[in-house]
Amino acid sequence: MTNAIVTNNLNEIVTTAENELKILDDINFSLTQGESLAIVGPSGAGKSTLLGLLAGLDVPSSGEIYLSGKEITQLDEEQRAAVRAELVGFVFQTFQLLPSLTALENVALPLELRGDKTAEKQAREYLERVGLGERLKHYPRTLSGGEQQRVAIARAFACKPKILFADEPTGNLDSVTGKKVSDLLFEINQESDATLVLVTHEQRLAERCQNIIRLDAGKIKV
Amino acid sequence: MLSWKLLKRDWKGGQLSLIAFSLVLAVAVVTSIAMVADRVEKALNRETSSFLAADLVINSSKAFDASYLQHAKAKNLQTANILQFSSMLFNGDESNLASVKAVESSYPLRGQLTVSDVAFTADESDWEKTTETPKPGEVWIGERLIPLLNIKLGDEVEIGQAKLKATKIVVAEPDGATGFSAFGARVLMNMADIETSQVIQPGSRVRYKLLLAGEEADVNNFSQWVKDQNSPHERIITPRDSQENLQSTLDRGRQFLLLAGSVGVMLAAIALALASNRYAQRHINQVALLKSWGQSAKQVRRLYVLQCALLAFIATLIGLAIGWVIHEFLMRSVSELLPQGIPKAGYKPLLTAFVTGMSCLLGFALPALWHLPTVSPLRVLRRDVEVSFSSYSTRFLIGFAIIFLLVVWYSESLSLAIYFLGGLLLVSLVTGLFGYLLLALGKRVAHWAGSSWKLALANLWRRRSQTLLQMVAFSSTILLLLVMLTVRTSLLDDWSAKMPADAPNHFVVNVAPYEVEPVNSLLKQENFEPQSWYSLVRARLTQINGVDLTEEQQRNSESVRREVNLSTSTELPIDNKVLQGKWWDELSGTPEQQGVSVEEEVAKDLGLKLGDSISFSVGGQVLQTSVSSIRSLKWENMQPNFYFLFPKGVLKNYPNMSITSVYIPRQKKTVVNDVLKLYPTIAVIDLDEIINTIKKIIDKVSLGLELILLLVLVCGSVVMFAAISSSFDERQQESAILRTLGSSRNTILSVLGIEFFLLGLLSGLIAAIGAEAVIYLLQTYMFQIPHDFHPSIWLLGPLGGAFLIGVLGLWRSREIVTVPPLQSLRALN
Repeated sequence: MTNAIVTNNLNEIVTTAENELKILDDINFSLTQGESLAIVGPSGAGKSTLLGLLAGLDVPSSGEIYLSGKEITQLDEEQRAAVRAELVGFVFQTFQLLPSLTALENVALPLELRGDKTAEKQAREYLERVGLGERLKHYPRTLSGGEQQRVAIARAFACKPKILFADEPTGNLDSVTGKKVSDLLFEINQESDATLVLVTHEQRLAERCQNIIRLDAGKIKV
Repeated sequence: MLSWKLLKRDWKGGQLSLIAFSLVLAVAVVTSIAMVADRVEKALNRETSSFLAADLVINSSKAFDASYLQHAKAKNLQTANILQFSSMLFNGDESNLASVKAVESSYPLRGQLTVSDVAFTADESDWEKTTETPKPGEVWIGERLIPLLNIKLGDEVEIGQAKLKATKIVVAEPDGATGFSAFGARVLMNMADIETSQVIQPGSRVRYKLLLAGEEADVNNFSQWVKDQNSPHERIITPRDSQENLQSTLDRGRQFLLLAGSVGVMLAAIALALASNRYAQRHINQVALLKSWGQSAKQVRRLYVLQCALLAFIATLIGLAIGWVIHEFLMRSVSELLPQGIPKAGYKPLLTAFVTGMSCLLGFALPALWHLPTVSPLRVLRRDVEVSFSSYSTRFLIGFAIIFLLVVWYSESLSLAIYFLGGLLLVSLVTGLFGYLLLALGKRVAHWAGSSWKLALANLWRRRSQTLLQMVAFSSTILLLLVMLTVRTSLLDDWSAKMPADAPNHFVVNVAPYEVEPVNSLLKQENFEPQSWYSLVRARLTQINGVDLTEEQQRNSESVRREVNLSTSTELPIDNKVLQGKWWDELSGTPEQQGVSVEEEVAKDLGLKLGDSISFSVGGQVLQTSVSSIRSLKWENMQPNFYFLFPKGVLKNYPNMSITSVYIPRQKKTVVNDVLKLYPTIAVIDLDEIINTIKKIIDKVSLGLELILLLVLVCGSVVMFAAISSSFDERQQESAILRTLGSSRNTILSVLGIEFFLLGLLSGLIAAIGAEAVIYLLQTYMFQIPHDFHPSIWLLGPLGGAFLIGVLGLWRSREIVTVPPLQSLRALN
């Protein structure tokens, strides 16, 4: 089976006025397609930096990253954008819904950007799947936090990503709502056979993943 | 199309309304002005389409020598003689002063007359083009005379002793005057009726014109021959001269209007830049998101540029439509001053508007948005990732360059554009400095004020760059509005009110020497007291100290560009004061040796000193004299005033006519008609009528300008809206925090209210100071009346500004207090 994600000797170093700061230190791991991974660790451990590098949003100081067999660290921003368009989906802690668009429009937008003619139909189906079939025309400001994150999940899966990156998906929600949202995330992830990489502070959420990487001061703690 | 879809969604979300509104405004302002300018230009151009009705015109103040006609005949040129003069016209009991043109049947040599049987028709099918002229016994009348004389076709019109039948209405003459004249009433009669009318007497003010047409070489030859005659009374006019004069006047008018409009465009553009900046700030996250989904920078840029182009296109169309409606209003306000049947506007205003819309987008919206696609997609995870936008100084330079190019384009003059923008920059700096001082003062005073005032003043001070920008925009617009309003409503009345109640209100002119005594007795018999009688001799100044006048002297002084009236007086006339030299009674020698007294302004323009010798040409004769005194006078005293005065008797051998002024009460004005019936060659100029006409013209024109200024004020309000919007999030956050801490809605509302109220009050105060200064200059130098304060300005400026800006500001920021604090904080987080 092809590996969905492989990292080789991944390092991220930030140069400040006084010294060099190692944010990520020699990160190596691999995930097969459909597996799930939780990245945990204290604040400032480098979790979000690792997620950004894995998703091709930034390039590491050194090391290699393969997404579905493609080496992405040598690519320029345009080429990485093409890889993201093909493989990657996101769910964020702050939902990142566009305030001027309705729930339906928010979900349809990434599909429309790809030129998908059935964008609206698919968006509708996914919103129904996350239980918001009645809220299609609602704007983000009129939805609760849990509902907004469900819209974000619908939007992420509507694009049928091979790899889904979730950054603290329940971080802005109370525990009951957080539980419901994470149930939904795992359910749909299983249905779609996507590889799930999530960053979380929550031990219970991390334990639902098949793999856990614990980061501390930029290093994987075994 | 995705861009279209996104545009619609952004519009629904309310993020584009300010950008679109600014663009619409800029385009509407320019469209309305460009359309008005274009139509006025076309109307006037059409009325003078053939300009001269000939290939060459010789214009003279004396009758042409027979040699002119003989020479023209020898050169195989067609000729037509024209006489032009002012005369009273009568239809029963109605009378009116009109400009009369007597023509020979060969007129016009070029072009056609446009006549009609229907008055005041804009329907061209009612018009008839003709090269015919009125037959002997007939008169063709201008439309303006119809209501003035209460006349209809078929009625008889009396011109002097002649009774002529009105048979046609003249819509346009190929060498027509424009409709702007205060004596706009015109008639066309046959030259053969001049003798019967007896209106031309020796010394009468008549313009003689000889029209010529033929082969170019013959015409040039003739023109040279006339030049060789070296007669100071004659002016040679070619179609080019005529066209150039008109063109330069029209160009100046158009430039002025477009420059006034460009202030509006500038304000709209500033609003556009502020709104675009906010739009860009609010779209940072969206762009990061789009990029995280795999959109490349190029794709994102294409998406935004397309959206902008679509928005600009739609906004331009809407702006054009609104501009068209406004231009209709403007046209209506000035249409009475224009010829009938104004042509439709051409494509040029559309081009101007379109280029303006696109330039605003390019210079003010795109620079703010240009770096948006470079936002890193990593921002979806980390808000601390910096976004590098183009610097404000770069954006200012781009914007300024675009405005500069637009102004150069509007004004068609680099130097004018530099002066205009330089002046504007200077005014802005002065206003800004003034505003800054007022704000600083306010901040100090705030220590003793209540907490709401303290907070409001602190807010104004904290955002002082925005505050000052708004102050400059508002105060300059309010200033101009106050000046316009004052000129229209009170300045002209002040001017009229300065006249004593019994100040002469009629000039009796064109009185032959033998008519002076009987006319004087007749007026006295009716209990009117005519002022002194002055004899008038038309003359042209030709030499100073034996040297022909230089071009510069001719340019500098109106008195030498055209013929002047010379007169005589024994006494120093009322309100005249000898500044240098002596009046006749202190001079020795014969009247001829006592020289001439010259008005001070003319002396200054011509560089005349006491003792200088000057020569006049009077109907071909030379009159030589020397300057014996320089005198000041009051032009506004409604007495006959003269540049050049001689001792009594010096001019008696030259053809002369007399003039006097007299006060005739309104209820006795019919007496004028009785006098005129007895002495038909006399003309009576009703000053009340002239003042009313001037008032009407100024009223109409300033009403039109006020409409444009109101548009500019709307542009200024949009700047305020944009400024409030750009600080909206910050204000909302402050308000939410204050409310969370227990402040009531009313407290926050009063802080906001005071802030906008103060902004308006200070802007209005600066405007009032500026307006009073401008009015002082107008009163002192233009109307020459003593300056008095205008309390209305000091009330209307600050209070009007405070009310307008207070209400608009509160309305725009109502959401700050109406949205629950939790929702505000959540939305901002």
